[in-house]
Amino acid sequence: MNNVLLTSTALADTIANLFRGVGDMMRDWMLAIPMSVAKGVFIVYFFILIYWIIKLPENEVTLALDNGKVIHLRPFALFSLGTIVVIYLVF
Amino acid sequence: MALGGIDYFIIIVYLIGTVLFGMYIGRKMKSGDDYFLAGRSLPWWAIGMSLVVTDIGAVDMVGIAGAAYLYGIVLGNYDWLGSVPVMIVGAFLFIPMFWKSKVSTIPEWLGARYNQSVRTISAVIWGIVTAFGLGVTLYATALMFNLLLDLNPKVVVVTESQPVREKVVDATGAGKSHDFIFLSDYSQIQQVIDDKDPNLVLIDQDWSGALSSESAIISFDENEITSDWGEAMMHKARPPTWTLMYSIIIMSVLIGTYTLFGGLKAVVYTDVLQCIVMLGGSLFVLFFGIYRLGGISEFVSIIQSLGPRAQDHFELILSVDTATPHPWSGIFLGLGLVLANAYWFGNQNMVQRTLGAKSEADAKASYVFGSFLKILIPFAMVIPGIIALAHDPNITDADKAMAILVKDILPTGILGLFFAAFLAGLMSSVDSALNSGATIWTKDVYQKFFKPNATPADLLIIGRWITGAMLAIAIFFAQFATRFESIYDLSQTILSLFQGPSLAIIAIGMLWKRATGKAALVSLLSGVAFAGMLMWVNNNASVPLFQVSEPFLYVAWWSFVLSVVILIVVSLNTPPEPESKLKGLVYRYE
Repeated sequence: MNNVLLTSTALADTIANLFRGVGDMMRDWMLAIPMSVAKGVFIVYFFILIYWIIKLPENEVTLALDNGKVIHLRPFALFSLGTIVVIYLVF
Repeated sequence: MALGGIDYFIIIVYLIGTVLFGMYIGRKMKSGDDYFLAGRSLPWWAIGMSLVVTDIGAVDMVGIAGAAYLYGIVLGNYDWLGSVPVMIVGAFLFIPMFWKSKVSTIPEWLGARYNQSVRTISAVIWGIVTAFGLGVTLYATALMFNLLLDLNPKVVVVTESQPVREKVVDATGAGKSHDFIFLSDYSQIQQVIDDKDPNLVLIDQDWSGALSSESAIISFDENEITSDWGEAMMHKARPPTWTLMYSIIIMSVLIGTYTLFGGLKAVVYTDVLQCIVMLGGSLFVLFFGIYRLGGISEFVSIIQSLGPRAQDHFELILSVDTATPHPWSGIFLGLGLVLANAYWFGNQNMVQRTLGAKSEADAKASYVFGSFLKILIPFAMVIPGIIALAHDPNITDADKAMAILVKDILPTGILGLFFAAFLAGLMSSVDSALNSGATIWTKDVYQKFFKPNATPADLLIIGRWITGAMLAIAIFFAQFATRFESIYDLSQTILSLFQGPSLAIIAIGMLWKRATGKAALVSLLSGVAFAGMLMWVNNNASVPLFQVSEPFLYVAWWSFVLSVVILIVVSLNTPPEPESKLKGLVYRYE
């Protein structure tokens, strides 16, 4: 049983070492990113989605229900995303 | 605060009401389509509320509040980043595609888009993951059920030393199955024995006082505390009269009854009721908790006064080298770009109710409405976890933080309402997982391999049998969930093995018509194997591969990346799928 454990640890170490160099390099790169820029990444992501929603064709965001009413979904989607932007700016 | 008569009344009325309501809704059930897709009759508002309450089960009420107790508002990312934007994308891109294809399951869509091998493998993996996930949910339920009803056996530890208390908790390993009561004042021991009837009393000195009790009363010395000592002490403890398993079985019978009879329609409409009760109860805990602490500014200053352990508790974005499992890089890449997407439009549990929408408009609107409700969830789940920290910074098991908070602050009557809210969260998660798991096993395994010509009535009968079997399997799995420190991390870890590769083949398949069936099969299998290997290496290497404690976010991200690369490379080297097969299954390719 001990031999099996030693072998599995050795195998795991070998595989880990293959990834560790690249992984550590990427981690160092990410660590060098200032936290304000990191927060900016989140905010930019939300703005990309807001832009995408704004550019969607009208027929994909306006829906006719069975009872004849028409729902405009774009304002609701923009409200949700806008609220999230505010939350990430606050925290 | 213990539950009073009015609390039990509220809880019993809620439970009986939900079960009868679910059975009433399911009374006209005639076919498999009625059972699995509610006869495609569901309105957007019901689906939207059902989506939200299904996502917030007992696992979240226990696990997210517990994690927020330890790590703070960073857990809010799981809704504000992991749900809201993704649900908006799903509403306009993926959900209408699923709805228009008229499938019953995501594996069925994969079968139509790629081939039957991809469908079968995906169905089997999802079927197993769903059963295991149900087990975790049931375990979380039992934890809260026992704690709120004060059913856990008690261990009294009498010592003035905080480090000794922590050593005893670690050595006995009984934090999940027992409630610890710590005493410094030796004169209170008899009173606590009389009030709490503990199963074991451990006293840190030779005790010559005359104690009257049926409990095991043992003196110990700090130097003898080891895991062997802890194990020996727990063997000497009086056996508990109520265990987690009893609670699991009670919940299973209640939920199983209305899910078995009412199918998806009962699941969704009971979820509407549960959403109202759960959001109401949780938001009450938020406001009442802050009020009891003296207001928002007092709440914030208490957290800040806790020093380094809580210095990031109001930070949504944490450094890459944070000691928590939630660095911003993992949150953004693993959660925001992979797990969240995989969950909201690659998870049968969530997508199934939109497949039962009465129109494409309702399917789209349900996700937009759900995204709006999801903005509120961290206020109902995460902030109360931080309130629990301000209320009591010495809770030894973070998963119990929410339960301890509500028991300590809520008055009689309101406690019953919160307990009903907790049951609502629990029931909604379990009923949805049961129904979606049964749908996959019935449509993608039973009907495909054993009875392709099954009538609608046959599918209804077998669907009900499979629902019962899933529940039995989940009860079995629930026993093993106790081995993990954080149940929320456990469920995320399981999902992360599969969700990256699964998302890759769904998203690329829906957006790129050149993706082929052979490539999807290779991509799915390679991605799952790679994710499993990363987890195995991380757990077995002398030095863990990842530097965060729970690397599920990174595992999801890298397995997704590998699956995408393999899917593209292999697709470009295999013959394209026929154009006629792809119409309606690829975005803007009608």
